Amino acid sequence: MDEDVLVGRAGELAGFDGRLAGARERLGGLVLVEGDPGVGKTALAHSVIGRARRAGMRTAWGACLEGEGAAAYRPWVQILRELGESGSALLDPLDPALGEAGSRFQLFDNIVETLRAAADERGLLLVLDDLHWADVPSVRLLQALAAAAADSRLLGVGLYRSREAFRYAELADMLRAIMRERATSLVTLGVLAPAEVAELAARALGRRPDETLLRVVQQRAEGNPLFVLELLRLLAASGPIGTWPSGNLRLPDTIREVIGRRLDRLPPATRQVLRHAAVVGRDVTPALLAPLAQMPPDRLSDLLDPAMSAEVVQLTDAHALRFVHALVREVLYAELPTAERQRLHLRVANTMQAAQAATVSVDALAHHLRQAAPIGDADEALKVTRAAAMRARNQLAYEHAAFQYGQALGLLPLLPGGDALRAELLLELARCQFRAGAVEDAWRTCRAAADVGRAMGDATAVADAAIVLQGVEFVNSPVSAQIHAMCLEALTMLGSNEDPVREAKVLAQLALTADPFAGESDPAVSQRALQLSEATGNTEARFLALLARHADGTNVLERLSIGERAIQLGQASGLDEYAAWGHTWRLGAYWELGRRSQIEAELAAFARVVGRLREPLWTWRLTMMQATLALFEGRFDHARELADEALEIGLRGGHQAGGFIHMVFSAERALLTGTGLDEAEAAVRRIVATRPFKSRIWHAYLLAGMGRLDEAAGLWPATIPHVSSLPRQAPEWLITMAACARVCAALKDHATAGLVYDALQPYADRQIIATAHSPGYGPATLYLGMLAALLERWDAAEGHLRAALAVCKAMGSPPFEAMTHVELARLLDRHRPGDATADDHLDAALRIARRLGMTPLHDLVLALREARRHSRAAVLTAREEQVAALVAEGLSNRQIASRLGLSERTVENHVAHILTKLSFESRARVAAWFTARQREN
Amino acid sequence: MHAVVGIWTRDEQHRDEQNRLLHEEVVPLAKGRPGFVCGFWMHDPETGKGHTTTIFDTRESARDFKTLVESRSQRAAQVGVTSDILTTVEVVADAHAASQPNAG
Repeated sequence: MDEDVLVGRAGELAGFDGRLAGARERLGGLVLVEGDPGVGKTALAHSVIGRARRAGMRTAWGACLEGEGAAAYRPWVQILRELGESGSALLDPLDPALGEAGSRFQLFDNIVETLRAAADERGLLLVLDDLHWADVPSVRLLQALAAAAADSRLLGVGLYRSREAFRYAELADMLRAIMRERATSLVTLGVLAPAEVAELAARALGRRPDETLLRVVQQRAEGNPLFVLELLRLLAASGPIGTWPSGNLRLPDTIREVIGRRLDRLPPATRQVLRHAAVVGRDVTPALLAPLAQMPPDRLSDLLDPAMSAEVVQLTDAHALRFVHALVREVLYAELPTAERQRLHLRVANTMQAAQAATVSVDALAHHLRQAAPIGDADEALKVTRAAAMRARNQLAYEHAAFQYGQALGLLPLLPGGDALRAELLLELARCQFRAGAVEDAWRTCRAAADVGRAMGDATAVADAAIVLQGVEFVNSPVSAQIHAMCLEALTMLGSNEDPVREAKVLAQLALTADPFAGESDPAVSQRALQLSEATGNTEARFLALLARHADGTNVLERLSIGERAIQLGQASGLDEYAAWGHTWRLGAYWELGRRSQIEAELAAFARVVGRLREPLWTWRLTMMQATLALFEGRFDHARELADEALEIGLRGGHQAGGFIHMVFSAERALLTGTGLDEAEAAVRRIVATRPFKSRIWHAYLLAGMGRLDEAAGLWPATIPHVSSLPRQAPEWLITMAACARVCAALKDHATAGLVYDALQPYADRQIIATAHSPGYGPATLYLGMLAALLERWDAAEGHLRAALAVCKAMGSPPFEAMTHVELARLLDRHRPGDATADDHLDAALRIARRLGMTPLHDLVLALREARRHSRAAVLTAREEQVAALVAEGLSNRQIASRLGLSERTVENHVAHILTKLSFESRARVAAWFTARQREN
Repeated sequence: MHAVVGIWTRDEQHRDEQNRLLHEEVVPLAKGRPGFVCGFWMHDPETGKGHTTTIFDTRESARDFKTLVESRSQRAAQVGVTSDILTTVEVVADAHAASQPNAG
């Protein structure tokens, strides 16, 4: 029977023809094919491979293995080798000096680039079979490929079983995420229609089947092609349908049963050998099978002949034996009693260990040793499983390493004294879970490790459990309080000066997880961590201490020094991530100090480090920094493009804060340009509802900026108490104070303005910024000026605003320069109503607002000018208006006197009054003012 | 002229070792550096912080000395001294008492 025929898949194949043609035109992507076992996924993929080859495309195939003995990235290594690549990038352990700081993104990026390059000339079709058995890192790599294949000549096809539990639970979520990629499509292979079953049966039998037989097959197989074919084979072997003994031929209900029934027809010795082979896997070499079956190769060959004839197994190109379908192996393996399985696994392990080490897969050996552990050598099983875990870790296959550590933990009850290793293994597991991004799982495992450490009086276990979760993203997160408490406990258990490296790390973690709102922050803790870590010279401890010291919100000069030390540490250790942090801190400090040329130099250095790191998180930070600078300079369109680009990078890299920072950015841009204000306000309203109450200051600030003063006033009274409770070391302190200043000015809240003014006063030389990758609010003096003006401290206000103007010009920020001009104009209008320089400021603001497209400011300036015009008009008498008009025509006093029939002396008096009332120093200013007013009218 | 300016956190428990290190190692080391002009090692009893100013005739000499100091951070930390701030700055004016030979 010919089972290569593909029946009933014309629609799917036509779809693939389209995707293959698209791929050749650089419209590549990924097609996921799901379906029940036996529905024909692999057959379909083989057919697609044939079509791709006929179209001149390169092809490669990688299969995931059932069972737990497959190494990480197995299908990808197969694919790379088929393409003539060594696969060493995935196989070779990392430089041990880099430890866990290696970048998986970079690794995946390199692989994807290699595949894109391989596709570039003729197009490339990749098939990944049996993804339901894949290791998680392999699917993560597929995810990276799906994201990058859209504009390439590369088409990937992933096959997996539907309605079946995945080997790892997270695979289902990951495949769903892959399906959301724009160039990914899903094909669900359904069952065949009755007519298609008839066609398949006819092709398989080489003749039209008997109607009774066909009806039986159609009813039983329910359109599953493999079931159809297996049933046909079974029934064909049972003789002509008319000869079936009535009532004696019970038909199988499931596909597994039909396979079992067909296997029943093989000689018992053959079936036994096949069971042995099933213990090894879907593919098995005679070299491994012969010792396993404990028989010479020729006898083995004799026994396998009936299985080959019955098309249960086939020979591969590599002269290995392969079960024709994974289900066949599953049925045979399930037939083995537990004790027999264990004995066979032990025999496989012994055979593998006796073979040359280079040809043995450590994952496979670990799997067989574990299966045999109850009757074999559990110590050896543990040792090899840990080696497999370490190898996976060096391959950056953290999920796979975590799986191996989980398996290692399962072996402990078999080992005398195994519990002594429990904490250590749990910590290794937690580190892998954390590196894989499974933060909650990692923390749960840390707590279990700490429980074990506590019970055994092992301080190092508790200390290590407290420092597995690292990074500033945990500051103020729900777990940070628990980590903080564990740090305190660990420090008590550790004692003093016993283990300075651990103590330094725990102290740094203690500082990083302190809640400043609960009064837990104590700069002495990070200082002690720094001293201890520097005394030990331990690189990781020193960096953690620098991180903690920076997070303590030390003064700006110290932050510059800390940044420099992190850069030096990165350079000395070869860890670019440390240097990247150092540049980030220095950028933040230079921004705060308003050092424009230093910002640019530091940004260029940071970009070089980010270029080496090629990590989405760092690329996101760099792009947001560039967006921040563009916004500050008034390049609003470019700022938006950069922020959108950053958002895409951040989301693709799984960076949770990316969306939030983009929203902050969009809100600030909306305030400056007037575009998207309502959407920004709605987004801010939603987000502040889920955050601490103090975040409503931000909402009030936005409403005030939009001119929705009633709503801002409604929010404000409840937020005022939070203004003074915000800890100074919080990174958002300066920006919150500036927001408060703007709200106070808008709502004329004199009482709060006094508090905010006093708080901001020591930072008069600063720019208002939280981080270098989030939008700034311009110079602090702008806000001090607003507050002082509200408080009618006129001289101070003017001094602040003039300083702000100079800073904006020096820093090259037209938007904040325009805002400062407006504030100066308002100040002068109130304090010296006739001072015409207020008009100059309004003119300057208007020019900038028009040029940059700052619509809200533009409209505000026009309104202010109108108000000034009205107030001036009210100041002059009707006769003075007449004189001013003639001054504007360029007439002398004598000519005006003649024109109006007045004495020259009287005209002189009128002109003097006009100059005094309008605070002008010359007739030219009167002329300019009058002409401008006429033009506006 | 250029100065290497530092602010240091000092652990009071190691006061004697710090003084010994300062007088026996740090000061002689600074004095022996190329371009050394003068140095001041100061203590603020209010904050417990140490303040240092070491002046050199050129920017390069000052930077070299700063690098040397940074390379000895482990030694300093072992006696409870860590830097808060360490930077090089340009000397834009200087003055000395009239009795000094190079009075400004």
